[in-house]
Amino acid sequence: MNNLRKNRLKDQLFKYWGIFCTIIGLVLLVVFIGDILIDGLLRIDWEFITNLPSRKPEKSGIYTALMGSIWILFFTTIIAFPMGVAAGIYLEEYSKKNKLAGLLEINISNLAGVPSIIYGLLGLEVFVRIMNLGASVLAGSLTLSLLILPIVIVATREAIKAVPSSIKDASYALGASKWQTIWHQILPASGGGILTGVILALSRAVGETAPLIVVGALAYVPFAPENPMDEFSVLPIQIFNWISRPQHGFIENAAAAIIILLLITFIMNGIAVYFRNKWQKKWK
Amino acid sequence: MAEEMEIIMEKPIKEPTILDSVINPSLKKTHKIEVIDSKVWYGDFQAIKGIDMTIKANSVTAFIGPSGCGKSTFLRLFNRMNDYVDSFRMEGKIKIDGKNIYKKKVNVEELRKEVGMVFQKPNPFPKSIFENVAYGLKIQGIKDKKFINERVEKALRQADLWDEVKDNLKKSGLALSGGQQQRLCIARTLAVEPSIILMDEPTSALDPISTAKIEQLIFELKKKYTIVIVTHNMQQASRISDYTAFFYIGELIEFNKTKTIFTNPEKKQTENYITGRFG
Repeated sequence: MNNLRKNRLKDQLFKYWGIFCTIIGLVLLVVFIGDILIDGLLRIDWEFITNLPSRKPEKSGIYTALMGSIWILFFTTIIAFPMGVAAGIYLEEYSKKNKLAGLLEINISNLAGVPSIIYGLLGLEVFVRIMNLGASVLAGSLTLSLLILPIVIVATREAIKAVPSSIKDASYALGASKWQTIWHQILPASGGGILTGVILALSRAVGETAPLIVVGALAYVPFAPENPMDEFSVLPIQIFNWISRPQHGFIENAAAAIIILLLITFIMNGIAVYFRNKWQKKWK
Repeated sequence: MAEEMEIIMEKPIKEPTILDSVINPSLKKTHKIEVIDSKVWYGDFQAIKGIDMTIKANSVTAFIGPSGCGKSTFLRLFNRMNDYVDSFRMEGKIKIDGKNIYKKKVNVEELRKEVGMVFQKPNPFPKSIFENVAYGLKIQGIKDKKFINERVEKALRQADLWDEVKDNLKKSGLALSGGQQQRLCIARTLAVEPSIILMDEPTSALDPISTAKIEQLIFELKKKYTIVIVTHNMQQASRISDYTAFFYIGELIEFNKTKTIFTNPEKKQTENYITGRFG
């Protein structure tokens, strides 16, 4: 009887501890977002989005940083998406399951955990200096592509693994080649998972600051990039720059820019969730 | 048990006659499978220990034996489905129409158009009924819609599914019942017009009524196709097959006319298995 009561007490204690921890996380998030909204919401208007950066806080906008982020996002997508998905397909469907494959697998998982600044240093050396791309949109995109490549590869592999082998067997047994099976069966069935993984990886890339600073993204760029070789700034760097200014007006600007950045990541995550649900309905 | 077996055996099995082959010219194709000293390993484990066998055209051959005896592995040799197992290794020859299908030059995709397969669990693609049946044709690069439509209808009719699905061919194949799904899988295989159909326990996931339908189907298909079927159901083997092979731990213990195997087996082991004394 005594033991029973003890167990029940432990059970209750753990339950309330769990509730407490959950609430702490949520409260911090709400306070943070609330604070940002109070600081920055009134600052957001069309001019804030379309204005170039300026010495005067009330006149400066995020146009160049926003365009920089979009350019970076675009090139990162067209580099990392095909490469990551192709590598994932290769590892899951083509490579033999031997020791070398095991080694590759461990390394890719580890790469996903390497601090982003290390990728920045790699990008600086390889893309900016050796390949002589300079502090350009292309160099930044290549660096961020490297950063999210392991995430895309792992997401692709997981999505492909979830396709029932009976579907593959059926396709092969009808005389389909490996590529036909991948194209007609595996990719449609795993597309939702792959897309979700890619979008989540990209929404991480859009918030990255450190590697881009190392590569040489500028805090102040007077114009939006017009081609991949142009210099650029991105939203997180613009925010970082404004926060370090003494004038109060720039703090407001930073808060407003944070709201825009959060909005972009929320929208991207929302799209990811939407695709996942839509795909699940279609294929199950 | 023995009595029951005899009653089943009294059902006349219609052998293909010369007249049949006049009416149906495809019967003249005498596709057959010849297995010469085949040995299979998965890593260090030897799954098949040197089997020789000849399978006649337009017959139904049943593979029976306890789980893990290698009968499914053996069946999958005929369309090279074991190739996808990384540790798989094979020695010996398997000839279909006199050609060794394990030669390096062999085009595996071409082989599988000749040797179709139906699996244990119904596995339709998550596509429409029509797309399921048309898949094998479309991957061959066939684009002629009229031709595909005709083939799909023909295959669904052969699989005795046409009347049930003709009004909603666009419905997902997964929306069908288990028995219908399996007939859809058979139709999908037939649409490619193979000469040999391998069936790996095709009715083990189905209810008795669906099973009876598929058995009836196999009986019909025998006229045009060579069928090899793995089954755990003794009655099924005796009902539908012309020849039966009994496997035990990677070896072929006995292979003969089904009638002989079930009424007068040569080996004690075979008798014990089919009467349910072991396995």
